[in-house]
Amino acid sequence: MEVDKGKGEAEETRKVAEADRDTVTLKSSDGKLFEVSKEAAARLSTVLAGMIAGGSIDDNGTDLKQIGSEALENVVDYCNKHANSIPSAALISSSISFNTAPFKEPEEWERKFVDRLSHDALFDLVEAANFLGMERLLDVTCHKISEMMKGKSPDQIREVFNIKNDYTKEELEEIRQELAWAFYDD
Amino acid sequence: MQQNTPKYPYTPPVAIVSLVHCFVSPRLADPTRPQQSKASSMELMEEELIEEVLICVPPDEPAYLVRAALVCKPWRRVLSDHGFLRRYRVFHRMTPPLLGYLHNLYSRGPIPRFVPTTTTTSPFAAAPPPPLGGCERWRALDCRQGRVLARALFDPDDDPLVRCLAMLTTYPRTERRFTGAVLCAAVDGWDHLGCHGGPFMVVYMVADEHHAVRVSVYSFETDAWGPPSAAVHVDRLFDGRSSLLAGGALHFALYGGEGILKLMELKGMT
Repeated sequence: MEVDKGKGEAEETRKVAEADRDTVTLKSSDGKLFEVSKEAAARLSTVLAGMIAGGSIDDNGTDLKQIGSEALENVVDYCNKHANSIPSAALISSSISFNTAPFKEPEEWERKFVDRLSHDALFDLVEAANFLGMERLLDVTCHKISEMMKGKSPDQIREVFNIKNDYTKEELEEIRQELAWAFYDD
Repeated sequence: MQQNTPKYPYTPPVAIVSLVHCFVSPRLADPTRPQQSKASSMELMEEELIEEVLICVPPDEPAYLVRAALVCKPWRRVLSDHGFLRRYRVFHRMTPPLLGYLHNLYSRGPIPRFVPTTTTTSPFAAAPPPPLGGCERWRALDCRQGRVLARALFDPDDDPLVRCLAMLTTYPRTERRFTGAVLCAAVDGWDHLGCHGGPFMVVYMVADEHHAVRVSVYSFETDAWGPPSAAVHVDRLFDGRSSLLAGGALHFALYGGEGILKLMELKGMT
């Protein structure tokens, strides 16, 4: 009994210590640990905010089994960079309803942040941002992908994103004729 | 006995599950589902994430969205979803884009009626968008909420506006004054961000030699012109400018800028 009680107290102490820390530790699907600013994590991710508020953050690394280490490293990097940058007023607004708010152009550092990513890393980061409920990061990554489509024909888009064409020749021709005005400069 | 520890399904802590449902369930992958292989191609992305990407496509060139629809069927499905256009416009804080304008100038020879203002619709292209085909032979009366009201110049019998004109007045056609308006017939309070393709009404107004103005309203739902209204006398006739819809009433400018004809109770006129 006494042992149990002691263990309970230790647990309590550990939780208090956890609450006092200004970082949280996240664990990727492949077991790597990352430290992230608690304030930034709570501000940028609805899921992490809920976990922090609900006390379900594990001091030894909160398991995020959907996210690989490369994507999680980028998530953490983004959060920490965000914590260090002076956020514009637009980014502080805490809307949890996705995409009901108008889009705000990426800031310079956000552009640089996504520009250095490979395609694979970018796609993984989109999924991680979605999983963690990081609306801003999702917007910034999706914006980057959409920019890569700019001025490209359907063939070129498929090539860039490695997408299989599941239209038949006839189906394609039918749509192209129906919407001929969109293809003048092909 | 060989015991396989299944890697999946992964059962997340209760707190995560409840959060998922509270905050992000509409867009979030089911965490109890086996993790997909990495989305190294956009083909493996879920449709809701594809939508997030496509919604970011800049609105300055509408052709980009059309081309995206031809990439693959899932993309087309996302783009043709009823809610997509609405979300797209809210996201880009946009009123529907100006694709070009229509003019009624014909004194300087055959120039295209539709003048595009985006680069993808090349001004030198042989054919304007299909709904405007053969536009040398008609005159635009009004343009609103993505629809154009046009009247044939040479009074062919199959032009519904010409049929309406015959109903409204027997005055010789060369002398008649007419104007018209097209507007969405959806319920009041609708923001008209995605109403094209929905119900609409056409208001057609004709004046005879005594300046007696009569109006008839075409309803999309009944596919018929309503009965002519009682004649209203005006001192000045309406000019060639298109109407203005404000406060639930259509306003037509009168010649010389000396007055405005206000057409009330539009919803009740059908």
